[in-house]
Amino acid sequence: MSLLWQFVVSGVGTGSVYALIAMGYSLIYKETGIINFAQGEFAMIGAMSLWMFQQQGWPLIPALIAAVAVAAVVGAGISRIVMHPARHSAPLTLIFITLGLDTALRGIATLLWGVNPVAVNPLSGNGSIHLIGAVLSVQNLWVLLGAAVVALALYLFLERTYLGRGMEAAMDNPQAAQLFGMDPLKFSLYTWISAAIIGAVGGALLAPITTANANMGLDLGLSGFVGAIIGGIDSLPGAALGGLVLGLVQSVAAGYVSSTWADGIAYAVLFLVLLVRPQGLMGSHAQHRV
Amino acid sequence: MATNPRTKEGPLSWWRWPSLQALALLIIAILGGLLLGPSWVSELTVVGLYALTVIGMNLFMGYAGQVSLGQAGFFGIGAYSVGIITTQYQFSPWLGLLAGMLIAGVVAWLLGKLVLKLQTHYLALATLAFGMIANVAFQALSITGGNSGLTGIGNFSLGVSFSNTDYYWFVWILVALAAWYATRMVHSESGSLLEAVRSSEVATKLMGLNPDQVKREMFVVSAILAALAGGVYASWIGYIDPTVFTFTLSINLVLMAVVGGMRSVYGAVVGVGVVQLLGQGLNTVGQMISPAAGGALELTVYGLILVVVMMFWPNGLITAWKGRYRQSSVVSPPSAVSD
Repeated sequence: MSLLWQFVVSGVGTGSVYALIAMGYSLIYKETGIINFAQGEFAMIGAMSLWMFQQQGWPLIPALIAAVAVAAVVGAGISRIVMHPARHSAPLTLIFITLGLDTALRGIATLLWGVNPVAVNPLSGNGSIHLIGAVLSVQNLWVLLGAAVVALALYLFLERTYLGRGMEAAMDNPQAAQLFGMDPLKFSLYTWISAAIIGAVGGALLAPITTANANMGLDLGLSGFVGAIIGGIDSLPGAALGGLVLGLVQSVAAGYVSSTWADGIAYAVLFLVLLVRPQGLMGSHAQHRV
Repeated sequence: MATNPRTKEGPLSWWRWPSLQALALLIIAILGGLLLGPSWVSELTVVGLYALTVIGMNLFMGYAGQVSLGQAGFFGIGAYSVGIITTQYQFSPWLGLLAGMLIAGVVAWLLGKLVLKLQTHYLALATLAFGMIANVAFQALSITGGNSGLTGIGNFSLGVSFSNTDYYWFVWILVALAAWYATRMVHSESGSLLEAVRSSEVATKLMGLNPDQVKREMFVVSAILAALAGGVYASWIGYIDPTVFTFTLSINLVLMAVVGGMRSVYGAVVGVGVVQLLGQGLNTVGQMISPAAGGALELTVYGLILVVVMMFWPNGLITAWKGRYRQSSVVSPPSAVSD
């Protein structure tokens, strides 16, 4: 029983990073209708840039901000140069484009930073705390806190600011939003930048726990995507919940079965969700079948 | 988008007869085998194996309008069938090859039954999940040798054991047969139905035809071809491990299909050749910079090619080239080409 509790506690840690990445997927999907297979690379960019700035001797906070800024710039570039011009393409074509972006970003990162995993310094030392019998590293607390703050910030941005309301309106009805003079390019840009920031924060917070490398984005991205689908990709809270659930399932499966099978079990869960409830646990739109 | 399926444009001109085209491909392959050195023969054997897989994906993607992101799983099923049957049971690799194709076909049929009615990106995800689960199984099962894989996989033999050059002939005969089958398929009744499914599923249904069935057939065919290629690969190379049959392989296969033109059977062969040779070139250039840079450079350029080709020629390079030729010389509905 106490073992299960330990698995749950560690699962919530990774799960909250998945939740952040899943929210990035959901945001881009809702705003632009695109499944962004490159979402995990924002997490990789966040993690590797944080390491790079730490190597340069930067203090923690500026290094973290700079790392997130790097991801934001990449997100803006992708939106401006690739995704916005290609927005009228067929769904299949858009899938291929984001898969290509994912591959290219991984390649560029490997060219810049090599293939070896690097150790990223934790935000506040290597300590750990005890939580009703389970051990939790302090970095894990930072992950939880960071995920909660980012989720809250995103919620406040979408609900309480003029810009955010506009983005939400554009999600619900792009034509109407355009008629009211909202510029689709601007919204695409904001969406991609937000998604990049969310992903980069997740990656940067996770990196001290798992170490970072130029290839980490693929697995993280796929996990986040699976989380988003499980929870419902057209609902931000749903996607976050799905990410958490996936983290829990993986952690418990890795603990009781084996870490090799844990990934397989995660994909089996995905498969079940696709068959039984393709819109996800909290997705609202019934699947549109032609 | 045009809802009327482009049906057969009358009888085919003689140079478009499937048998003649396949024969031409075979003659080129034979000439290549006779004239080129041993390293080229190995290189072109790999091209042939991928071409075999991509011709299948071409039918599923280009003609049925769907994508499989898990084709490495079927390739792996074929490879492991040959590997397991020859190393764990000492049976003939031919039996392993047949078993692999059968298993892949059955798995694809069952999978198709479950997921082919899903929308494009959910379907892509479901096939991705299949590929991942297959890879995890290759790693975790004991019969597949786990992470260390299988070594000493048996050679094919017909009286005498296959040499490197024999594999080359064998692979390219298979490619010619697959291309012949695929071209005939595309120009047949089912081909017209595929075309209809691609341009409008609603219209197809309204005409009382079943789009799911033809999609499933193509999915099964693509899985069987991938397993065939995987089985021959395992026997040719002699050892396999799970790092070969990954998501990255699935994506590379998609890239090859996309570059060649998703709606052109011979474009698939050209696409594989171009991507594979380019990859080799980039690897060589990259390794002059640093040992790790070879793969990274390849990855970067592959990714950028996929993005650029999809942004500007979403039907693939060969199809775009053919389309331009057709538009300038013959009057045909432009919407069918440029869509």
